[in-house]
Amino acid sequence: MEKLKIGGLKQSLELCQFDLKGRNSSEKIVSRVTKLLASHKINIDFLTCNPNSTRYHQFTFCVSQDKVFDTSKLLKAKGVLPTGWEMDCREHVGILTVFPHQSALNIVGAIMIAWATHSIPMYGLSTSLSAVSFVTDYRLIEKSVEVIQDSFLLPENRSPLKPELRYYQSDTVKGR
Amino acid sequence: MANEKLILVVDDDPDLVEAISMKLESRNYRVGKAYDGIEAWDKVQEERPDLIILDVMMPRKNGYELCDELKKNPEYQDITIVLLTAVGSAVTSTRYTHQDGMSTLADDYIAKPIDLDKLISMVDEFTGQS
Repeated sequence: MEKLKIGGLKQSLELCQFDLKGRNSSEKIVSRVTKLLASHKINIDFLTCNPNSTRYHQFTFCVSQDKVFDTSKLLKAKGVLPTGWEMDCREHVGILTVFPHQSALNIVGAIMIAWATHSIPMYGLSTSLSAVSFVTDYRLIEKSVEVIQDSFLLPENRSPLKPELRYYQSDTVKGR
Repeated sequence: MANEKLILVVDDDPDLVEAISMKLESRNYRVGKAYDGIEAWDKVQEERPDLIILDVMMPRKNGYELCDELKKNPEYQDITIVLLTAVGSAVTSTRYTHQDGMSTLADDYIAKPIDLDKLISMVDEFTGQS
């Protein structure tokens, strides 16, 4: 079978995934939680919402692994999550981003098959303007890259982009 | 009518590359894309761009390094370079100390988050488009 072409891969640093689930609408909760995290200078590396399910509403996001305690504490504070909402926390995950998808979402299916064949879990996925991002175990992220490199055609000299620093929000902003 | 000017967009955020590229293509520029400094260097050698929109913080080779290499190379030093800088960000690595774009050899800079219209106006000005 002919290999699909992709332009590149990008890895995240180590993250923690929070899944928030409940029966009532998630719109206000998404707004409340993202504002709360922003006010504590916690960056969100990944965000998906499932607001239209008939069974339950789900809101998933990832933050830096070193923010897991702060984030849990904020979410567990009284009044943040409505009654009946549950919070699951999956530590030590990473994101692998494949780009560009050029609206050819058979890439998603091909990666699902390739990862499943190698028992690599997928905890979440989202698409953006040009990329598809997958959440998996951080300890398996190198293996997941190898599987994709074996399964897809990448340009020469395109090693996966690996972050060399972590961004934090500053208290002060310099103007031009 | 197709614009013959070639703009190379370099950033490790593929969505930002795509967004800038779409905007430039809507202005009939030809667009090249690269996702780090090493790939950008290869692209410059493949086809010399008229202007480079260059992110500063990228893996493998950062924007300052590439900018300095190009501006010190007689063959490429007249390529216009606009740096994308995260002016407000504090970074934890000593490898990246904060510098204002204007203190480098770049021709100009624009701060992130980017105002796309402002960036396009800057590109138009440098390339002589109106």
